[in-house]
Amino acid sequence: MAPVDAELVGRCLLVVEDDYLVASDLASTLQEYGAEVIGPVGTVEGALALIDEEGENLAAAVLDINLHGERAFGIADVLNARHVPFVFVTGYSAGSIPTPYADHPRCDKPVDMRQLVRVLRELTAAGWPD
Amino acid sequence: MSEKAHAASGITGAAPTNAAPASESEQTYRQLFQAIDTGFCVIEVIFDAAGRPIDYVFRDANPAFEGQTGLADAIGKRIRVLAPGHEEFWFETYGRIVRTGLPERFEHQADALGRWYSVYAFRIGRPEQHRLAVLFDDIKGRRSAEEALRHSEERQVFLLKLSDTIRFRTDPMTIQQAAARLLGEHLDVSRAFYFAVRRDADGYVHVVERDYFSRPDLPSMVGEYPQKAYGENFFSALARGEAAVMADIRVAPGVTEDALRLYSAARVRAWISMPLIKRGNFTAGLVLVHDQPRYWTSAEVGLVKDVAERTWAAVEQARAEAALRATEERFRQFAEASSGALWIRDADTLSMEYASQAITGIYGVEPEILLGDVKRWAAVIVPDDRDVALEHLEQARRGEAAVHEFRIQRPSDRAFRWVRNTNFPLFDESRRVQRIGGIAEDVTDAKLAVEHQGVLLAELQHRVRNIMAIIRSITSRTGERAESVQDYATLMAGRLLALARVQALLTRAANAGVGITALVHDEVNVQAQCEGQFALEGPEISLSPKAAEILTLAVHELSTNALKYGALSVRSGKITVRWSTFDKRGGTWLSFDWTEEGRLLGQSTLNAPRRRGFGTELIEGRIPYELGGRGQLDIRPEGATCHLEFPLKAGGSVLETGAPQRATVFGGALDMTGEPDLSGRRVLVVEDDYYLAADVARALKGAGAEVMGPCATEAAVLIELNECGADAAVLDINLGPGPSFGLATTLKEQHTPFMFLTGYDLKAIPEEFADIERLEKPVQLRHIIGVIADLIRAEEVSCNRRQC
Repeated sequence: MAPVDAELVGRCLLVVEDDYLVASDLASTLQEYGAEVIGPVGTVEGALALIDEEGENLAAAVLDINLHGERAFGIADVLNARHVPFVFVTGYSAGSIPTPYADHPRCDKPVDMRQLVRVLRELTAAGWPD
Repeated sequence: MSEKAHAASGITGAAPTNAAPASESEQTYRQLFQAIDTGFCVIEVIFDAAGRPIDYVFRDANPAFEGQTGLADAIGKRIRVLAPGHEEFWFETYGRIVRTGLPERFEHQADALGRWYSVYAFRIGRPEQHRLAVLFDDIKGRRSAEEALRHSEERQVFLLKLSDTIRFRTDPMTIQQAAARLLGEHLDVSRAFYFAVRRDADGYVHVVERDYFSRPDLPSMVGEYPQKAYGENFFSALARGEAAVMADIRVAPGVTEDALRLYSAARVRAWISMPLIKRGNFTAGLVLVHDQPRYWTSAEVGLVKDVAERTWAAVEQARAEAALRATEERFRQFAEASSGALWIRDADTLSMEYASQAITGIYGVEPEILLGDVKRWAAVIVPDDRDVALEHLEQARRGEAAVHEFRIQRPSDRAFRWVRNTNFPLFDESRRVQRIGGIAEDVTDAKLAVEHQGVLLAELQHRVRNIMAIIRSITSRTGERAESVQDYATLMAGRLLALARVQALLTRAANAGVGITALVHDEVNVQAQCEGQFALEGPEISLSPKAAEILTLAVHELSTNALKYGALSVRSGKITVRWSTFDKRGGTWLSFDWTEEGRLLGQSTLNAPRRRGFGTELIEGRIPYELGGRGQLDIRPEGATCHLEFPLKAGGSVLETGAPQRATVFGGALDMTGEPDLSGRRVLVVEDDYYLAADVARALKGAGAEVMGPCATEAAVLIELNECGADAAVLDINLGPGPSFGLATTLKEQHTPFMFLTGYDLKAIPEEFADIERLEKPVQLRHIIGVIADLIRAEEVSCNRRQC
């Protein structure tokens, strides 16, 4: 359906999203763009485990902020520490996201998939800025 | 002169009638008497049949006589004719001298002549001639001066007494009462009272509200007295500010019979009425009344004027004070009743002069604690907000009102609170800012409520967007599987309605779980053709929002499927839903079974999915993913069966959101949430900067420590340390004139770990303290807590080692 975009091909992307329907949509879309999807996973615990497992393979991550009431910022911190870029996918507006994360790339729900792909492409192409 | 007069006796005294040839010496004396200013006369005293002196006749007089008496051509005339009303004193005295022959010297008034005389009188001639020679001087001038002096002294004494009497009275009425009584008694009049003035079409009306001072036998004067009825001419002076004086109304010219009757009825014959002209208007007056004729002296009139003025001043002052007291009382009641705390500062020193009791509710301390030096208040403010708060005082001092908010750490319980201050300048008469007034309110709850509202709003937005995402997902999935547009529309409508029912359930009330029975019943019942087509068996269980949402959607899919292909598609079909709880992995799980039975039409085989259906995905994909359980759906020709199991979690309404929210105020630099716990530790603070000392102390207390000090001098430190030792110390190197390491040495000897607060570079620190932890000002208070915690830990380790 969606055009295969060479730039996501082979990219190993983690999807963290607690809603099953949204998660599987995200996963299938990213797969259509050629990415290898890790997850999707709906809990902080599960996400951290997958990050550990994947290690260096991980190119980027898509993070929902509210995971069954739990915040995803712990995951964000770990990704930061590992220099893995990520994009928030959330229903929250910038104003209700704590300052350290407020300026981070963000795609509002419901997600415009083309926008998400574009952001992920930029994140994975530019690498992690120091 | 008297000797000369004696010498002259019998010579000058000679009446022209029995003139004798004058000797040379006689001639000399006559010339003398002609020349002197002293009055000289010869009189002949006349006695009645009973021998009483009743009159006298002038027989001779010198030229000065006329000037001294005002009597012209007196020779040969009787004094009774010349001056009726001449005092009896004179006849008695002259009669005595005639009888006794003894000269007398005396001073006495002669009111009929309007004089006071100093007199020397002696008998001359033969006793039966009843003749006296009288030498006299008019001393009225001297007597008046003496009189005036005496009056003035009396007046002063009286006025002193008056002012003593009214000085401490605060009620205008009692001041007037006391003054009227004093004046009335002093001048021995029948009445003394005040009146107010009203002006109507007919002229002035005197309004007497009470009797003030009145002899008890007299009728009350309370009432209204139109001047017209009482003779306007008698009072015309009043409006000009002059006294109206009446000696006897009965003989006054121009009084009407009617007026006279009124005066008579009121028993008024004489008066002094003294007007009080205030701000150009004749507004009131003080009146003395006598019921007998009375010839008022100017001293009496003057005294009434003085008393009127003074009591007026006292009354006005008392009124002003009473008004002020009333104002102050109103202010006090207002201030005490106000939930906002009212405070007043001196604009020059910023010292707090007043704080209402409500300040206690905000700051947690008695108002007295915050009175005085502005630092007492400013130290309570968290360091982050302090400068701005002080700047707002400056703004008020410049004459601008301002509203601002700042955080304090309440000394009573160390809670961080938001305070809203409304500051405004209070001006004096010359528009200079004399004081700063303020209203303080604790707006913590309001601020937290607003924050919470913001959180709810964000949560709502989050939820709406999530639902949109889910709807989009459902839309695309439904679209992928629908057999026709009609089918698609029906499926979408059903799913949206189910989603809407879930939303209604979840947002029904805060903290309300969703009951499983109603949830299942509603979903099945929507699709069932008749009652009795389904049976629900299981205990009532409250579901978390997420479980309720998924279960609703699952039951919706199952019953739609049943209606289309399964048990609800034939009248004989039946659905049984059973659920129960069981223990698994240390928690309570829900087990849920859906069973359909009945003679089915066989279309269900059509449902054999080419790809996994929406319901199957929901049950077999979503339940494990979102609820951590499992689900299995079997669709067979005899009907569908479904088994679900998942752990039950407590959970309220989605309104009880897990979104970030803070039930307390963030205390900025003073907030020690998440910092090391210093409970039970005694930490000495040595710092001479007032605010920094207060902030460090509060940060330490916030971390649970007991604070010693803060001390601003070495002497104070030694006193503290003498009482008990410290677990650690925060040391400002620069106390007063320059860096000092005396305390550092002492602490090191005592094995008390410490850190430096300093503005100095490393060179200023002696070698032996080079490795002491050092924070440069401005410091982060959290860093101090961290360093102190490390120091205490390290010291415990080395202490154990020392003991080993």
